[in-house]
Amino acid sequence: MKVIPTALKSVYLLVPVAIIMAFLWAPPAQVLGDASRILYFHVPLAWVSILAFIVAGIFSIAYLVDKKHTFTGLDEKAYNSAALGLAFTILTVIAGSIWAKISWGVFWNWDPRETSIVIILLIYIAYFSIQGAMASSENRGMVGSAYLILAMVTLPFFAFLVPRIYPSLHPDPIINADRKIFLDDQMRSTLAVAIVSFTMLYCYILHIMNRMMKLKKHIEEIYHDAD
Amino acid sequence: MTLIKTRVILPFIVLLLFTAGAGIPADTAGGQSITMLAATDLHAQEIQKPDQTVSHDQEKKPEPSKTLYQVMGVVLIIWAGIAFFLFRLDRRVAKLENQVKIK
Repeated sequence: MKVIPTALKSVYLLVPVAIIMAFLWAPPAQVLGDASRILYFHVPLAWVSILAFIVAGIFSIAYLVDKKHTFTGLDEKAYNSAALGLAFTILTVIAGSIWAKISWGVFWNWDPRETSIVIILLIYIAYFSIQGAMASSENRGMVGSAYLILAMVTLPFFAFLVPRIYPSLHPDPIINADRKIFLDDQMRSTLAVAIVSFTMLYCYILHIMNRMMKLKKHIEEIYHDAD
Repeated sequence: MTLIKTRVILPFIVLLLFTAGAGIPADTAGGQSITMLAATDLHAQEIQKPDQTVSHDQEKKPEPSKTLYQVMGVVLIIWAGIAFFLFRLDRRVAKLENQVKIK
């Protein structure tokens, strides 16, 4: 059981490796030059934010299916994953805005992809508002889980469909409609390492957050029993 | 209470710092001016493959500029801070877990 937490600690090595590869090993892109290196941070951040929201949705489905509560704290795990997803989405927007400033000359121009990411952000901010408002309600987990599942269903539309339907300045996804990767081998491997390391970072932080959640519940139970 | 606060704020602090560092654009566009990129795919950014007829000496990549090393240094320092924070948090949680189990 200790294998996974130990494997997650590889993040301490993987992230610096990804950073060094992104800055020194990967060649600069032809048009943007060295500024294009933000690709190795922006794309993994975007990937992890989508992953986090999907994981939150899966935890929510598990919470609703598991009526006997065999697994404890599934709704809180979903909450943690959604929190991480929101954080990563904000960071994706920040990294994307910097990239937009360099390549388009403005931080924000309401491009379809920018608009869709704002809608995704609003959807998940609303989730946290609902969770905050229902802090003392017994149905908090149920309502939150149902909301997260609905939010997960909307993700493919906003993240993948909308930017393809409307003309956009945003570069195509790395794996685009032609199913080709327009990156050379060094860029591709750097991007792969960056994606793996950011995914590990997400898993590691989620693991710590879930442990803290368990610990909090356990301590609350101890105090409750003492009363 | 501190534990709850840390749980809520943790992802934001950790990741905001990280992107703040990663997002610093190296103002070195390989010696060329940065142009408005209205390309619809990364094809336009694809690296020019070296000409097959070029000798090995000419195929060498240009040396990364000083600014690139500086930016990488900043990002690595920020990562070191985040890693230290995560490591310490992990250890504290592990310690608390052991204490609670003992009791």
